[in-house]
Amino acid sequence: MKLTFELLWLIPFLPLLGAILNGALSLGSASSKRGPARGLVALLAVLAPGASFVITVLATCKLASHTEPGNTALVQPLWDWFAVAVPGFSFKLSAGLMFDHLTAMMLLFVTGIGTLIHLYSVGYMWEDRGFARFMAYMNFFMFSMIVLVIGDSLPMTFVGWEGVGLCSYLLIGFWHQNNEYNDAARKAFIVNRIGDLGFLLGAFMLFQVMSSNGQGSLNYRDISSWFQNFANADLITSHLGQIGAAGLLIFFGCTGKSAQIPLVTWLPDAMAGPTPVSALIHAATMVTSGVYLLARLCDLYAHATAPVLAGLTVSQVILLIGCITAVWGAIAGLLQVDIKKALAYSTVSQLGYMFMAAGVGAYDVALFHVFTHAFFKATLFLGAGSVIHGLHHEQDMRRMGGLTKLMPITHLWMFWAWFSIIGLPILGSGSFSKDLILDRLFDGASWTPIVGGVALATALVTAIYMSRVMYLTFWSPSRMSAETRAGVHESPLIMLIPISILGFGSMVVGWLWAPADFGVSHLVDNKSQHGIHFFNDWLAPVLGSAEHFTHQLLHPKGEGAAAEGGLSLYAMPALGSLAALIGWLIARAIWRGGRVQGPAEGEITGFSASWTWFFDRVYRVTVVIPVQVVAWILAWVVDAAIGGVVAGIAALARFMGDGYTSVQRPRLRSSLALSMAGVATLVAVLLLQGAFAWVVGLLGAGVAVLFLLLELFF
Amino acid sequence: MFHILDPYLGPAFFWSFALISVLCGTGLFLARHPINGAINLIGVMLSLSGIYALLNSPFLAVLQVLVYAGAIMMLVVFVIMVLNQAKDHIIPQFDWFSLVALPLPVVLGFAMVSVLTKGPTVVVAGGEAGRIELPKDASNSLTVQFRAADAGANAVYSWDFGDQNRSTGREVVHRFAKPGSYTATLSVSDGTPALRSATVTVPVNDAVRGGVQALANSMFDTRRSGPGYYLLFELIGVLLLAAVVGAVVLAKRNLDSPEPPAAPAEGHH
Amino acid sequence: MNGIDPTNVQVLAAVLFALGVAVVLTRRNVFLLLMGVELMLNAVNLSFVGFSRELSGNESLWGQMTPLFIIAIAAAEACVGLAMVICIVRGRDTLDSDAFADMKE
Repeated sequence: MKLTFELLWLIPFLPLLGAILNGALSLGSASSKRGPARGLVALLAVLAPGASFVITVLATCKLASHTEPGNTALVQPLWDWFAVAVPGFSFKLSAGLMFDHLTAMMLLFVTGIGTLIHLYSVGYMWEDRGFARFMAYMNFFMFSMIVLVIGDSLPMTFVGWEGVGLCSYLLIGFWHQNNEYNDAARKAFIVNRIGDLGFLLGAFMLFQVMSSNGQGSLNYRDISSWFQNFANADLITSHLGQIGAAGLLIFFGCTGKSAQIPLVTWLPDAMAGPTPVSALIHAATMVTSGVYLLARLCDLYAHATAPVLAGLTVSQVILLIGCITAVWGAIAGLLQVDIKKALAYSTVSQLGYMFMAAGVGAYDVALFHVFTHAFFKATLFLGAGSVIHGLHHEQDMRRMGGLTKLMPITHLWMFWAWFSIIGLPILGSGSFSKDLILDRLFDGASWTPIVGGVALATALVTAIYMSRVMYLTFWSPSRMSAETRAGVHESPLIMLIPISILGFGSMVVGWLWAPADFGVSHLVDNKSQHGIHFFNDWLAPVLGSAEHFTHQLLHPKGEGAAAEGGLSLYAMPALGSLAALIGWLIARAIWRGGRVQGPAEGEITGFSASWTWFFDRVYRVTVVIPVQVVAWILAWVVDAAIGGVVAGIAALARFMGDGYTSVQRPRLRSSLALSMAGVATLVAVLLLQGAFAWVVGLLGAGVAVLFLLLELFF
Repeated sequence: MFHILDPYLGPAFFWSFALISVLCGTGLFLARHPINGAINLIGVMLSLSGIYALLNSPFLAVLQVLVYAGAIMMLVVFVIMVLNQAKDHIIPQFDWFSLVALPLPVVLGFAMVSVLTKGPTVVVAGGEAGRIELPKDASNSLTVQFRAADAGANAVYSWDFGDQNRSTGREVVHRFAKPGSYTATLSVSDGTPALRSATVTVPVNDAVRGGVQALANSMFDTRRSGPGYYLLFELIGVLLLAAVVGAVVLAKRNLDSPEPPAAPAEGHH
Repeated sequence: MNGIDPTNVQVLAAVLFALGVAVVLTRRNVFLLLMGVELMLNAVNLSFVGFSRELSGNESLWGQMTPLFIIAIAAAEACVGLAMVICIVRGRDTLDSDAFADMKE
């Protein structure tokens, strides 16, 4: 069912307006000494996403007030993008906005957390010369991200998809005086572009499949209804290979945006950007767009049941990739000394969890983890930013320690975010979502429980490296130099408020979906149903069909349905909490004393120290060097050839020009007379026929020649 | 009853204006001093304006007087007077090159005129015995002149104008009572019993085309013509503005003159 | 008021055009040169008007639109042309177009 909501366009437009205005302010003040009016910039920058958030809430209320069964969505068609109609093929694409339950959930946290991080940025970037430019980029990022989520078709999402990639590039390289940062920005952009190619090819292939019965469309509602239509069952069966390939290609696009293996290498380097950027783009929102896209196309993935790669179906590929990335990110996170790098690898690892959930068809669980992760990872990043701010841009954890007393509020909320990410129960939202993922993995068929085991082990490693971060930063003796220690200060209120709200959020948002509710729902109204299911009930209109389909595929005999209820309900929370506790204790034993090697001479630091070097090497051999060879050939061989042709044409023109100057007369009137003679001749030859034309034409030509001779010799 | 003169008034005016314009053009060609030339050119333009009015383009006629004869030529005269101190009396009126170049416009004019007058302007409607030769401008007035092709000495020409009026004669002039589309029939009998006839549709329309109203409609009615002409005209306006600015800038610059100009153009007035 | 042979209009236009060409080609005074150009433009206008009359209804207006633009552009052209003349004359102190014969160098 489609409803219209006239204010929908304002949600992306307001941040765009903010970006334009701030961009104008930034450009306008480029040459002034004082820079832009910071108060105005800050007001615009925070109000724009804030107003978007308010409108999103309004739209969500309107959506929630329609309780008819089926997939309800608010839509607003904008304009006809393009239309192609040739014999045998017609395609029309309208640009439009769609606000369904999935969009509502994504937009609520994108605009909500986005607004808070904008507020935080005001404090964090206030002193920076490029304050207005930064805020313009951030607002433009909000616009792109909102378009990505609210677009009603794959091309619309692609616009946002490219937009967030561009903003990521601009913001990573925000401090462009540093060449390493620029390299990091370029790397992020190029790696993302490689993934985007997959996105596009996948979209084309999907369109081709759907065109086989003349219903080709890239609109999300058309796509899901096409796959859900029983009349298309035979068609789907006969196109399984193509559907699988389309799914795989789109997933390749997702690995680029969400930093999964093989396109993982850019995210750790992306920490070059200012910390609010890391929190907003590289932790909370943009990197989760891959998961969003998978959920958006869940019907496609649910029906892609044929093996496409090494005997695995697309979903199994996603599951394996997610698993490997999660393990790899966790181990890499264990070895980082830069606080932001550690958090970056943690993001990679957590994204792996989300993809694992998507790989077993539990899209709602994946999105739930997206949701909780946005809160606690944003808190962690903002806390890290606060620490870095307080320590005057010190990011090396080996030179931290003992900050608990110096930065009490930052510590408080980082503690709860840590509590959440390692999976301690009840007051950590991460435990709810992560335990649900584990539950779905163990619930799966054949070898998925093995993946579940690996994921559980990864949870242990997660607990270790996150505790390590906390110990090295807060809970160990200070290793700071005396003057650094004297300069440490708690961050200003404008930074602490967003941290506090997000930190509190990371404590409680898990209760939106709490299957193992520890008896709370019984206390409230003594329901027979276990747990609170607000989150997945909300998403059910969009994802339910695909999940049901996958579930039937995995459990053809109806088994596994009993997973909810009884003691097994508490098994995963218990295991997860146990892993968290053990991990914490291990970390406590190792790093409590702050024993960590200080920066050694000649040690590799910076970007090459990251754990992505393996992939960087592989890419160097397989991509970069061949491209360089081709570039060399182009630069020297082709360039010489083209240059020769160009030079030849130039020489010819010069020769002809020189030749003409000998005919050209300096006298103005003779030049005119010559051209008139030409016109007369032309008129005669073209318009008159027969002998007459020849007479007049020859006469004209004769006059012209006469001129020339007279002019030349007198 | 004076309407009988109508068909001859137009050509009469046309020929007088044409004569004036050609004479003035020749005057421009032979002018000793540019100011004489300018006055002659104004004469050409005014007579052309008259011809435009005769050709049912009153708006253009007015514009011709306003812009060409008024604005442009005034500008030319003004500049000639400003620069009068430039020693132009040393420029010969004609030189040897003029004699060499003169055949060219003659050839050109001859070529154009021969192209224009080569084809017959006859509307053929009928068999070999009867050819109706309709004036091309039949549709521009309530008064229409009909002329049949020569069908021999014994031929009898009879016209049915389609408005229940009839007439005889090889050349007839008929005034329609009101505009409309009429079917005129010419019957030619060349002495033999068989009559030959030819039919011609005559659109009769006395609306003066090119009136300000109609032109404005065509230019600004965006429903019908799209924004095309309107935009184009705006663009021309911008071009004019740019030209004025450019002209001022150009004229105020000291090009190639090392010393400051002794008498800048605006200094005289 | 009518009965003007359209051919005659075109012939008149051709004659005026040829006169303009003659002025441009034979006279050395830059003012006369410019005025010759104006005369040529006017001849073209006349030709357009003459042809537009042969069309019916609105098409005739389209034919008249072109002279309208030509007049506007001629005004711009006269404006810039005269400014250039002023410019050049100030620098060289002569109105002789043959004295400007350094385009080749």
